[in-house]
Amino acid sequence: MSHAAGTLIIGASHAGVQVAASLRDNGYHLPITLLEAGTHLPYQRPPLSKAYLKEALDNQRLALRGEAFYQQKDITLLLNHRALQIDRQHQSVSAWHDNREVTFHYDQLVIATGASARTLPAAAGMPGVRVLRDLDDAIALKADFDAAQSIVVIGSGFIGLEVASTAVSLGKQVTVVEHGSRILSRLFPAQLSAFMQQTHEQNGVAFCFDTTVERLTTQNRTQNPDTHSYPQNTQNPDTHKNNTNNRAHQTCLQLSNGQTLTADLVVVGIGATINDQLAQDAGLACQNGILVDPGGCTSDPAVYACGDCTITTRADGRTTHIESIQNALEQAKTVAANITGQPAPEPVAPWFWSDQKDIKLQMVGDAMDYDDLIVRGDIASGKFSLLYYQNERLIRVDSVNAAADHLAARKLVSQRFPLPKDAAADTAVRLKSFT
Amino acid sequence: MSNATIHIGFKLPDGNIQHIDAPLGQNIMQAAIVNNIDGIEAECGGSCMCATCHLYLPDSLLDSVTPANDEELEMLEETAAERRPGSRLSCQLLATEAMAGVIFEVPECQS
Repeated sequence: MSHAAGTLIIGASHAGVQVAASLRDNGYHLPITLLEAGTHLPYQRPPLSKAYLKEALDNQRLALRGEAFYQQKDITLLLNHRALQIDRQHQSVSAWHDNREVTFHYDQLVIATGASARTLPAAAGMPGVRVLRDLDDAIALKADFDAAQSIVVIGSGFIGLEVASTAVSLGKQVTVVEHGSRILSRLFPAQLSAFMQQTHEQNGVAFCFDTTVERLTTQNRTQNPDTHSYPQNTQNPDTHKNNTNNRAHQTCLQLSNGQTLTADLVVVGIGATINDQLAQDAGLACQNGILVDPGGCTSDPAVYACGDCTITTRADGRTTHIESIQNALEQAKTVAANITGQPAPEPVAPWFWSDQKDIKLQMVGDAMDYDDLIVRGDIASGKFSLLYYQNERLIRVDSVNAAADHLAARKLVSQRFPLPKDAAADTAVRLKSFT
Repeated sequence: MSNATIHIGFKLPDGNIQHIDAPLGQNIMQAAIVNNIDGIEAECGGSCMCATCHLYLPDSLLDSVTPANDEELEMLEETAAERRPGSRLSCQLLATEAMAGVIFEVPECQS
């Protein structure tokens, strides 16, 4: 079966849906087909680690766009279509749907296949060990999460800390295991890691640093009543009869520091693997991610890629990989502009956020090569920003519960603005006054 | 969330009004998004992080909605379009019976 050409998009998440929407906004009138392996109407990902875990939001509250949007904009959204192979010579993609192969032709192809949660090989197939990246992960996690009283989170990245925050706010016992010596050590300076750790500890999260998980074993909790590391779990045995199957098991984690933890649920948050296999198989240039130029074009001029699956080669030769919604949306708009021959949106400094109970963290700029760091506000107060400089220019700002700083900083960092340092440190001076 | 809905409208910058039914308890941003209201960008998906779901409430409604918290007030200072007394971030507004029949005004720009 073959379809009229136009733009074919593989992957209907934030990036893929935005390409389709922006193409129509730009007046593109050829067919647009969105192939999505999953079965859910395209949805928002940020709530999955927060509101969804708390209250299992329905489709209406997770949807990226209403169902009618795709019809109104004449976008063919095909769920449950898993792309199998890209044939660049014939400009076609085969996909698996309902136990048969379907072929789609394209004039332009956009790959927006994202990334998948990295799993722990040692935990393959174990009940009560979960990851979180997409809605199917969240659905599986949610069932275990509701029943769990004790949770071990492996990895203190954003996802792990968000899940930990959600869990302690619901009264669950949470321990985070981190192989590094502090939270997000590759991304944060020591004072920000320390503030985050302290806040999480005050909220009831326990941390095990400088250690890794050496072995996981599943144990039947009723047979090992003495090994519970959390006294709250050794309840009246009668209550166990009402437990789900998931809670009949616990996972025992042996750490490299000799410690043993036991938990009803283990959440593995150790990063993501980029979904670039389709592109690799098609012979597109990849380097642990699909290589694209700043316009989103791959090594084949008829094929674009955007979002978490990409590695961008910048004008100065540097390569960057940014996993964020903002980056996905910007790249998607850029790809749509290139397909329709319109000027691409002005590049802006990347920004990112994470919501962790009392911590509303907002970051703009991703530079690590700063030569000066100004603290704006009092860290102990829980409302402050860190301003990073290079050669007297502002290159990155991390804000904690300081939204006004963040919004102004997006403009200032994008311009690498030479913000006077005395003003940077003075909370009485609004950053907006420099924009 | 209850199944009951309220009828609300969005007045777009070009003067057109789009009407939708929003379930009680749903946030107005999400109601606007699923009904494809143009001009609500909502880049952060309702996390009160981006100030791109800015709306103007009619004066008549101001006394009957939960006031903005400090976090929202701080974001409102930084909206792309002019801030007015009725300015709110729609991700922070839940649909209530008091909003039945109300027309929200969508600003000229969000970012």
